[in-house]
Amino acid sequence: MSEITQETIETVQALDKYDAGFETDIEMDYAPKGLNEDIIRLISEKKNEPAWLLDWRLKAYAHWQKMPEPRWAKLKVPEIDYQDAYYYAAPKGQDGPKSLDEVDPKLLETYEKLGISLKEQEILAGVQGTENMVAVDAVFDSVSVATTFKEKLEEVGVIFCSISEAVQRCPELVQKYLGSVVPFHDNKHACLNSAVFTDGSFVYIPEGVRCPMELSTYFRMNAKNTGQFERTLIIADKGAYVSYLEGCTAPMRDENQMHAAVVELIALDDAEIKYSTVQNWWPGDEEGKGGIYNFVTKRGICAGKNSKISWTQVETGSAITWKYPSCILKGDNSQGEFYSVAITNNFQQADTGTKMIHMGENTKSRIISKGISAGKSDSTYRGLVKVLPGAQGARNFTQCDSLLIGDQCGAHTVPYIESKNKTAQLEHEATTSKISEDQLFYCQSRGIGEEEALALIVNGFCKDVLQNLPMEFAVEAQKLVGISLEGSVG
Amino acid sequence: MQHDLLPTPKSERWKYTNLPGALKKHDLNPATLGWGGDVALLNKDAPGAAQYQDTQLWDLNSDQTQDIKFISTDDTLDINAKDGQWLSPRLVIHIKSGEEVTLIENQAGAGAYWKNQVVQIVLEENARLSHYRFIDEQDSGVLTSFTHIQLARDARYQALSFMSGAGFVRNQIHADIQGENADCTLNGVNLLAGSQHADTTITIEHQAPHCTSNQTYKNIVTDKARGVFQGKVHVHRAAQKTDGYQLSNTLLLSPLAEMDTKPELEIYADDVKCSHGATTGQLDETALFYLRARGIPEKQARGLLMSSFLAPAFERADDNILPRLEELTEGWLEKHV
Repeated sequence: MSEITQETIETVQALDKYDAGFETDIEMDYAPKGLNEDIIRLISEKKNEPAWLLDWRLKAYAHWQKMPEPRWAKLKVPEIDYQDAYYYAAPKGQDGPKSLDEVDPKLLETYEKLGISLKEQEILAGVQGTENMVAVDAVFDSVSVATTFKEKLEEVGVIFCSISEAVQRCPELVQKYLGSVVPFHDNKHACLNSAVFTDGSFVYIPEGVRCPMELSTYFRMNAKNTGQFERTLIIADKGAYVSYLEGCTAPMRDENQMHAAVVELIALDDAEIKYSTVQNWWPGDEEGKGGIYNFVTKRGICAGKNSKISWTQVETGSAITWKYPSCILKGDNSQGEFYSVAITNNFQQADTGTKMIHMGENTKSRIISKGISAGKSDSTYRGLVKVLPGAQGARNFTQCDSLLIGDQCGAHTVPYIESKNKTAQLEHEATTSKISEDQLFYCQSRGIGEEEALALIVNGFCKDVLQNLPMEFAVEAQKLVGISLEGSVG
Repeated sequence: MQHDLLPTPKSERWKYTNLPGALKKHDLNPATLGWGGDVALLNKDAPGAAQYQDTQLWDLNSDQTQDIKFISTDDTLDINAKDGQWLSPRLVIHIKSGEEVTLIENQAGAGAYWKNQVVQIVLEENARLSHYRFIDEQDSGVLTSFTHIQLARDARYQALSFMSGAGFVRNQIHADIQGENADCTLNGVNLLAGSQHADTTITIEHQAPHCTSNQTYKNIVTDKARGVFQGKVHVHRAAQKTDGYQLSNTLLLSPLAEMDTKPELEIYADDVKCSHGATTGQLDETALFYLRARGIPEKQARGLLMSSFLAPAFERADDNILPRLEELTEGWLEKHV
């Protein structure tokens, strides 16, 4: 503990507002501005997609035009002009992922600067065995620019590549599962994504394989006036295990940019998927200018018995967050978990939570959500626990805690608990409070400055969630917690 | 009756309760309890109209009411509907500063009917109201009750609602806590059987500092009955030092019983203590085994456990009321366990 504490203090001291806020100057290929069928055809053509996928996209687009904006969340979302954005932006000459030495050094540099190494040898140096390695799929605006350790993963049969590549390599898998968890008509944002998604990651873990390393995707939005629409599809076959990480950043800009992603997870019998996100999109400045609109649909299905899906998220960025990673617990004895830390500061708004749908017998779910609001921000936990009549012996535990820092922010909790089975046991508890004066005084009387003390206490408050993150993310997340709250006291 | 004036499950606050569906089967006509009343006493404006948009029934009552009762001292009210009646009773309760009043409200009826009731309560400084509501409706009876409470400094409002019987009930309570150091305590026991539907929807608006609010709701649901609990605690920016607590516990006894719970917190002040808890489940098998191992027959053991499950809701009840509560509880458990 003391080590981590020391580290936290150091990182807080070394605070540098938003160090991912730089812009990479690189030549880009754009599709014309705006959204129409031609753009969708163009994207599909660029990706050399089969006809069924184009049809699917067009069907989604037709449906999207008829769909209303979701208004039920506790968010003030300005009118979005969908025509005023580029739906395809790729670094020149990077139409598809290539081998590492072909990637533009400028791009490598960008990722290097963000602390993501795309060089396989470097990661190897000084690390023994493969268990500490992370394979990365790097997505830059609309395309995946590189995927590392592909060969190494293929040795054990794991497919890890961009989704555009997967469409070429294993179309039958993509066709079978794409849209099977999040249908294109699910909601307006998912529908838009289905129509215009440009890239994302695809993971397939074959039967009985424990993925030898952490897989990760790093999303970077760089170009102006673009939206990022990526689609991630992870399939864990019987008895497989995979831990997947996702990170995101964007340059500081005055305009708002939109990010509408869809993530689908499928866990078959005895499979386990662990999905971790550290979301650090540009949140906008102190006056609430700029920032990313993060409208994400994430859903996993525990299709087989004894399967497990675990979502862990640290949400510190974005001007507006609209995100509900969910689990459909269909297989008997399957488990769903949701661990979340959502931090909002200045004018950020977050409406996030989860849905746990219990269908199978003896299904279990666990929800731990920690919300921290500072400045003039609002954060809402919105969650649904639903037990269907067939979910004999279902079990849920939910804990939602909110922390308020300052008297201009808001924290809200909106849980829905629906039980149609008498043997189901559901527990929900929620608290809202402020940082304890006693704890603050204790730290300060020992010579720890107010802001550092705050970061310490908040890190303690989030510990239940942070400890579920893989090691390399946990450190990063602790830093972020400190940075996000900077300037919220005094 | 104009069905288009009724709230539908499309609106968020009526998500789990389909009133037009419940009224569809009935052919009802406006009727009166014969109370008469001075229409000038009406407060036409419903609370929270702009924010929650769920005040259609209040407005409908304002338009329709022929029965207005003014209450400022101890009273017992029996509101009985007859077959085919559509009643719109209105209770206007005003408790003067420093006074203490106990009100007992008995809701019942015969045949098919709809009672669309509005209760407006104003508590002046340091006033105190103990409000007991017994709801015992018939199979085809529909009760929608909208209670609005306005609390001034040091005022105390203590309510206990006890529901058994049958029918379709929406019990909506909206409290505006406007003065410092006021307290609003809402307790409830809902014993639901048959194809009963009972919806308790609560909004507590903490608008002043140093106030407390407490909700303890206990539900036992059996047969095909469906229980709904929606509770919202809204702490405004000015309401520092608020202490708000909300608890909803439910026991489901049959495979077709259903409970939907939505406890909500909306908090804008930082120096507050607010929490809620909600559980849904069945009786603890270990506790049951313990009792049976000591020679207590199963039925009695279950009854004991359920009585103790309900007990916290009766904690603040007056000694004069307790025997009636216990008798009703025992009677229900006898019949349904």
